[in-house]
Amino acid sequence: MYSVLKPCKTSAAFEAIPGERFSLDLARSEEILKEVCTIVTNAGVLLIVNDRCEVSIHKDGRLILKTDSQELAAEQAGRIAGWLEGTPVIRKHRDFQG
Amino acid sequence: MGLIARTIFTGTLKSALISPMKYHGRPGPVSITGVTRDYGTMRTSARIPVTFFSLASYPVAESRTTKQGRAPFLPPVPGYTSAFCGFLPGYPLGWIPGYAETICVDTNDIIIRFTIVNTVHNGGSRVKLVSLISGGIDSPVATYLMIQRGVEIVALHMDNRPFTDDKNLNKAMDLVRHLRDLTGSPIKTYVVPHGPNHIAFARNCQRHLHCLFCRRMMYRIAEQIVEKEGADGILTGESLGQVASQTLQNIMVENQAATVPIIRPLIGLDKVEIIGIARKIGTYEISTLPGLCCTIVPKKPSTAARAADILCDEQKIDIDALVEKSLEGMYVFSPEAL
Repeated sequence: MYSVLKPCKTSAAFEAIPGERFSLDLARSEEILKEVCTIVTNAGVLLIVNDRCEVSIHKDGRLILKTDSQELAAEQAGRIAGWLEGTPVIRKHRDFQG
Repeated sequence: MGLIARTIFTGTLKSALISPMKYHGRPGPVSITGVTRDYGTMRTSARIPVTFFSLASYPVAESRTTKQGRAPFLPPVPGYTSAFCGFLPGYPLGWIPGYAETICVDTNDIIIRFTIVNTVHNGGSRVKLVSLISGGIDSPVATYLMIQRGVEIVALHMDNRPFTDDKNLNKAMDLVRHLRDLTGSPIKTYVVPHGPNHIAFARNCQRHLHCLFCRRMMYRIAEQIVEKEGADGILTGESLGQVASQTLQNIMVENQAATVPIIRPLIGLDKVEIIGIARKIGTYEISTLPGLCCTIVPKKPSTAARAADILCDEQKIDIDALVEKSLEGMYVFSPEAL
């Protein structure tokens, strides 16, 4: 699901970028994720959860993983992907194209 | 609002020290910038507390490299007192009728042209500003420049967590500590939670205007601190056009949320100039430590917002309740923790 994991601009966190464009239904994502991790807040435009580290989940699927450990960031991105992949919360970009 | 008086004269150091009384005739913070014959213009970055009866320890600051080389100034650390006092053996420093903020002293050449800036209220007290300190590069520079001008600072950090991380708060506090140590100026520091305000704007308002709502809310909260502290206005590190919220149109819209003066000493400086000052005063290294940028910033922020759009969206939110809630969560950062 995530093809790129890179340090963010100030190296304070890692950013995971999806391999293909899609849109997340954050309200439904929250429903799924609250069963497996702690919801910090749902601001409508992004969802913040806490699992092994704090993660900001954007509508376009981008993750901001608040850790300076690349290993932990990769693991956490994998966990989020595992929980969300294959669920109806993901609307792939090609769906918008008709 | 305070009066800023500036007097330029040429004379010896002794006459410069006497001059605040001579030229202003009243107590008040005085900034003295020296220009020597040999080294060109030099501006100190430090504050020299000179009271009626004592010259306390003071850090004397940056020197400017000129054609003749680096001027023989001590680095910006405390401990220059003896050198300065030795410069004027037996001089009755109690003659200085006020507060000398900065002074340039060339240990080899006492014939100095001084600029004296007296930053005082008409009543004689110091100008006080509430400075928005973010943890970035600009706000500490703006704060430093105003301290140098004799302004008393109360710092305000808007805590953007969970949309940033703990490192930003730590950086802001480190910057306040650094400025305090550098200038010798005590800086009372408030921290106000701003995350819930972001959530309210993100849920209710147009996405591309988010940064404007954010800044307008900062000003509203800062204004409350201005009132609480008996201050005169708000100080920010904005520089024209640097980011979307700092275009002229957006600044105009943001200003409308405040009823006190907003002082922007960096408005005409570009980033390179600001970084240059930040490096000289030692804040750059702190400001550029890792710290998560605000994650709720829209991808395409507005650069030319219309006041009508902003006001319309703000109708959807109970702004007063948000300000009140923010102030309930406010705390003063303990100097002991610094």
